[in-house]
Amino acid sequence: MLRVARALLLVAFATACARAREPGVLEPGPAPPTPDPCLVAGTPGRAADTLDVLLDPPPERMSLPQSGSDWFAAAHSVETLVRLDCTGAPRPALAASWEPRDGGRVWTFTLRDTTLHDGSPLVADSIVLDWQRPQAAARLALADVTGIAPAGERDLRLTFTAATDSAPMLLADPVLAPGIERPGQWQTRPGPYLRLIPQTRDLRDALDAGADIVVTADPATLAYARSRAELITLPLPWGQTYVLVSPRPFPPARDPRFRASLARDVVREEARPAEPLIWWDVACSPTPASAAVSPSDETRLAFPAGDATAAALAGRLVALGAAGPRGAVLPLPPAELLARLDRGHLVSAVLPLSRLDPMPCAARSLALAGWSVALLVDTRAQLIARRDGPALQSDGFGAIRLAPVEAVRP
Amino acid sequence: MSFRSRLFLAFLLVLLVPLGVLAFGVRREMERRLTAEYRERVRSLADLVRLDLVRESGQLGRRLDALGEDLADDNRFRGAAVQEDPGFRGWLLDWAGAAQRVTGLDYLWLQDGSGRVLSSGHFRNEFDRVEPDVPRLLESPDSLALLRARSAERELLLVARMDTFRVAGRTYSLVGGVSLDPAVLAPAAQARGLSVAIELPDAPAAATDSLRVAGAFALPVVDARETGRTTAATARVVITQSLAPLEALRRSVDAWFLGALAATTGAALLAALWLSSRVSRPLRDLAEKTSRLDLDRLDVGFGSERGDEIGTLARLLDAMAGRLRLSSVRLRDAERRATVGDLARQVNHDVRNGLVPIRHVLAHFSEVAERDPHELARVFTERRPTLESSVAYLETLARNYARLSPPSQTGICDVNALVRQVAGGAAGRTEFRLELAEELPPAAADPLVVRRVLENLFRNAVESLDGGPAGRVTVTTGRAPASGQLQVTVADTGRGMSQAEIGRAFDGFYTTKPDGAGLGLTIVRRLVQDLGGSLRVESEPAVGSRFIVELPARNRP
Repeated sequence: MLRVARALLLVAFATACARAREPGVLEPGPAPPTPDPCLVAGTPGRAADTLDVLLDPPPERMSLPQSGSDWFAAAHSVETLVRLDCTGAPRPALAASWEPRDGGRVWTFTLRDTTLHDGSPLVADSIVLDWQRPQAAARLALADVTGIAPAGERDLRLTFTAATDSAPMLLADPVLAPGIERPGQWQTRPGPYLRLIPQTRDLRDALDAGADIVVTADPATLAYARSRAELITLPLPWGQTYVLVSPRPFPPARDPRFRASLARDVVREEARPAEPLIWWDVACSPTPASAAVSPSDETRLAFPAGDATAAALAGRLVALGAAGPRGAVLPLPPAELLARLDRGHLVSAVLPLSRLDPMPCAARSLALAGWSVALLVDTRAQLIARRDGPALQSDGFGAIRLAPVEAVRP
Repeated sequence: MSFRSRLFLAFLLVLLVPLGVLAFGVRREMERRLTAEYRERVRSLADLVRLDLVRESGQLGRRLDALGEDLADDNRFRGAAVQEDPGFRGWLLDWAGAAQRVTGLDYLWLQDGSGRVLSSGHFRNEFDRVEPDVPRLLESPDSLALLRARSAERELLLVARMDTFRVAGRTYSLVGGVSLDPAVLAPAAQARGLSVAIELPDAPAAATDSLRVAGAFALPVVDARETGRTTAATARVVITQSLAPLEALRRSVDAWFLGALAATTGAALLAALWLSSRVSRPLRDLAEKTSRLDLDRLDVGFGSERGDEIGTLARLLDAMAGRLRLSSVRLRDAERRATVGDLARQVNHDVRNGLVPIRHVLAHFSEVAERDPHELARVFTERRPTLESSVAYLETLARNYARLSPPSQTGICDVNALVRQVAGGAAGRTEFRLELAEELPPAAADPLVVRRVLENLFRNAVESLDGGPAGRVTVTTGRAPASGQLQVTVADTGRGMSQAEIGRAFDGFYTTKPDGAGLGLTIVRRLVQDLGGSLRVESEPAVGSRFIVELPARNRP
């Protein structure tokens, strides 16, 4: 959770903060004159107690979202006091309103009159108690917060060392979301409860059965959804980048046209030529090979079993001779593949890397192993929702989230 | 080697030779017939496999033909392949995979006229590979060929077929195949020990061992595993029949043979034991009886009721013993007559010798009486000792010869009483130990003769002690274990006899004593034989002698 907080914070501040409005007093809930530009689907104001959600594949790494499912699950496990909308502006979430005093040195946030899904009431005392977590305390200290005190049952007062206008954006940090580190519960936010539907062999069956939200990259399901008028498909952020790691460089991978052909002809999911993040140039720079590198079979190109995109890319690379004239693909369970990679015993492999991971190569010993890391394609999942379903907003870094019911203006 | 061992070996040989011949024959015939049947099976399966492949190839051709017709009619294909519309490119790339699944193929290539792969079913992302030789080489005259290819995961071996179709004046080829799994070619054959294998050109030939029967036929094979290096060669479909069932049968026969061998050995052993007991025991009895046969012991009976050769032998031996007994009587009679003759000559000689001094004295007396009668008294006095000694000699001679006269009467003799009586008179200073059997039946003999026998033996024993104070004579009576006759044993602790002395002990006029006449034991033996008994001696120098007398017992009525 700490990593997701950092990641989300990093991305949020890298994008949303750049769009922040002019410094000054931020009044909560000023009614925009036009329809909400951040509303991407659903009917504003429509609420439901429970929503049936199918995440394909099931979420695995909410701490470091990689798939669309990870993104969606991470975004809906907790709720912050304040959200940053698609324009980077703070919007009420758990906090219904906020008010600066003393020139912006003291901020009072008024909490909604609601309870979390774990049954605990949303009161100022519980927020103060929750922020005693080391991560939360560190984050507050980093923002020069000198005092936190309840100013009433639902009023929370933050005192800064100096006047500031970014207090609402501070509380948009997921690290400060109440209950973010509460084990055993995946939803601690208020609002509709997301009931996960078990995976079905054909995701279209779930849509036909009335699922409210489906997150998938399956081309057939997306095509079916696009053919249905009552459904809408929304792209999620580019979540992962597929790379080829190998003891030796694979020259065609440097050609943008080659990466474009991979995205166009090879990957059936939505894909684009890989666009490296700026910090990956450093994070994935090859270093001199260590003695630990001992690929056991260079005629095999491994990929994580069950990953259709990785399988397709590996197959294409094998067809082009990346593993020798008679090379073949080698599907391996993801855990075994990573273990072999870490031990330096792996053959060449096609791997998905999370685009949220600030050190994707170091995390898997790729750079340390001195292997070549060639970017191939970026992929992303899409969210399928019902046009007349609950309101969905895009947030400051492209994620699609259920809008807080009370915050959505009709 | 014992008779039993010889019998055992003979039985073993008699039983094992036919048994071994039978086992060898069974194994050889079984192997010959089964191998012939296996060869026929292999040949039949080879024909069946070839027919299966031909039928599979035919089905492939029909499926490819249908796919080609559908594709030629599909505007999407026309758009993608002819117009090169990017909007249909994805569809074209996925077409072969979908068509392969629908038609049940394991391999499907759609190639244009230049050999470029437009769509691949088994390896979706193999598109744009250029292999013009694959459809060309698969144009086999008999339309039956194998194809070696690869998917993303593995290499494939297929029965492949090629078909072409034309769209917009361009020729396109479809290459389809189904996996060739030798195990699936003849599933029914698996349970019968048959197997089908494909020997590919670059694969090492399977070892042809003696445990298989193999047959094969050749097929063309196109190798398209490596891009741009398509080649053609020949593969062999090898059908083998495992000889494991035959080996199992052999082992079973061997096991049964070993079992029969063990049973035969046991039976031979038992038969040898039984037969040897039936044959060798009577032979041992005959041998034991024969060993007891002696001139003094001719009463051994060999009678047998057996009707076999042993019975015949026993009867022959019995007859021989009878003849020996008769001969013995005759021999004794002749011996007696010879002895009487010798005795007569001896008596004649001795008497003549005794009479010679008397004749000389009488001649001297006559000469004196004629020449000087008054000297006759003096001469008589002078020569009287000569006359007396000669007379004494003759009297002694007569007394001695009188002892040789045989008794002729038989009676009942209480041997124990007689032993006690004679021993009492002969003891003197010598210790006599009597060990007399109780309830001893009387002997069928003249008591006077028995007394003479005992007196001679006792005196002989006492004299052998040389008067030594430590000497002892032991007299034992009882029944002889073998013959059942009464047995009197007179044992002394005297000087004993050597073997040479024993050999001459019963000869007349042979004695080791200075004053003996050498007739005592001769007389004793004669007396005992006259009573129908026997006498033998056992002796050892410096230890003593044992004289054993056996007399016929008179059974009480």
